[in-house]
Amino acid sequence: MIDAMEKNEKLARVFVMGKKYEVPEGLTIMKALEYSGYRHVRGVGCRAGFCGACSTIYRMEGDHRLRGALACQATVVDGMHLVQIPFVPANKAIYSIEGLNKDELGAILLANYPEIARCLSCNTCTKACPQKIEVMDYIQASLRGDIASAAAISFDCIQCGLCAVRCPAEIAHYHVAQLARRLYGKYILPKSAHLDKRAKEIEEGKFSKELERLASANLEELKKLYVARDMEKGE
Amino acid sequence: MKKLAYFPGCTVKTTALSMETSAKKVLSQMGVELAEMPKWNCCGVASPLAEDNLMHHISSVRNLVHAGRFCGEIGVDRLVTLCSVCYNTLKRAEVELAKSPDKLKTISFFLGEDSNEDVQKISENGGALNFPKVVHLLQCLDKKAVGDAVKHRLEGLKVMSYYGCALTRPESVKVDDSLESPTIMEGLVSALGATPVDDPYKTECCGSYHIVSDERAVEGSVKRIVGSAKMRGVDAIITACPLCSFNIGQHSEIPVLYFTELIELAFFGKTATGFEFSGGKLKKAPKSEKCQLAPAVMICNNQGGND
Repeated sequence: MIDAMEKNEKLARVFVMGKKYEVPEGLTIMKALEYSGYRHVRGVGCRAGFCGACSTIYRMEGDHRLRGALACQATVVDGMHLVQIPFVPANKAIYSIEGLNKDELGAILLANYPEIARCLSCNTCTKACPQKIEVMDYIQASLRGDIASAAAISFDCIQCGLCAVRCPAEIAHYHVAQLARRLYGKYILPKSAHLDKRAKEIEEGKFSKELERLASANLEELKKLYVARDMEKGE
Repeated sequence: MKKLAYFPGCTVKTTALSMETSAKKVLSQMGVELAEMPKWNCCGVASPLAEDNLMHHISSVRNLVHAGRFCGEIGVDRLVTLCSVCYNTLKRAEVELAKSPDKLKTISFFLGEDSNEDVQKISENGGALNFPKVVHLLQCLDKKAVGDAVKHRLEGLKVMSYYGCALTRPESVKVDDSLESPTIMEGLVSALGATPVDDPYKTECCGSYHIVSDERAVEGSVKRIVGSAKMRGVDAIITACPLCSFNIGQHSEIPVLYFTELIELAFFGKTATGFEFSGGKLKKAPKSEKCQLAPAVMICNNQGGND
């Protein structure tokens, strides 16, 4: 705090689990927690908005709304009352992705997660999503058996679980979405023919010799090879 | 002293307090004590009776907002549905909220926090006034244009138009001028060259969602409807409702088609579902796929809905 005052930074009041701290404005919630003396054991991961480990819920003074954020992405605002929810208990269906009938995929999401039929379209999940995913839309798509839409809409999901915390129908949205994307990847997305071809070439040892040569080269040789490498021509 | 376990309720504890005091007084005179439950809450009457219980409109209103934007973008002012239940649900929201700004305001307390900006602003700019007019496809079809496109006139085919409830009730959302005897589908049937058969059961309920909890109630209703159609020599029953189609289809030897399929039959001579019209006869589709209830309905049936 002394640092902040010396630098003449503006301080924001932040209430962590009810306890008041003053932290420089502009810090992320995660840095503000560390600034206040908290050490993260859980509730932290990539620090870059990709891993979904730092889910946080907060309210602003004078506003009844409960909001959600990723602690590593959202910055603190004066009057923020917050707590982290680093893990959300949610049942995960046990299933095998192998040997399914492509024509009967539509019913699989509902069969594994029957609670999606309780969706009331209240949209609370969408409001809670820090990734701004239209969560309700993919649940509705899942209910209709539209796996392609569910997979596409949920693509940016990082499984932080805030949707599942807020849902009045107690749906575990992000697990449903993951199953949808797995089904989509395995049964609907067209298979890439050149990938198969290349995988076969690798298996047959097309690049083995070259790799061995590089692995056994000394530093000087490597430098020479690097300078003399084939470069792809730009546009 | 003899005891009666007593549930009081909110009204008895406030505006009807004299009922409780007198009851206690007379009972104690008779040696009986009204023993109040130590823990109780509202008996539950309030929310189902409340006029401002608007939760069921939330979904519809959100759709109407999205529709308002979409209609503006493509330059139209009507939103068309095929399913009569969707029509009924959306139309009731449109009609009810257009006449009750108070209700719209209440809904906006909830939707004002929505993630979508258009939805957030529903109470601004006249709100419901920006909703498009919800219509059913039946109301948009120009009979003359339909008739002109017919390639296979359905001469001699006797068709009963089954409306059920969603297209006709409540009166504020009916698709036809006549509540008791609508004729909008019969007009279409004539335009296709078929013979409309007027049936007194055409607006009777098929049993609707009772299929989930009481199949026999549906069977009873459907048998009356189908029996009447049979007596009148009907070759095909048409409907605009997936649930009516399911319920009737379960107990009917007479084929049940969507009204759009009857048009398909007259335009192309056959339907994608396997019906054919040739030699003045409707050839039935082989029973390939079994008609199914919507997944949500099945789940309600299996799990008793919300717990």
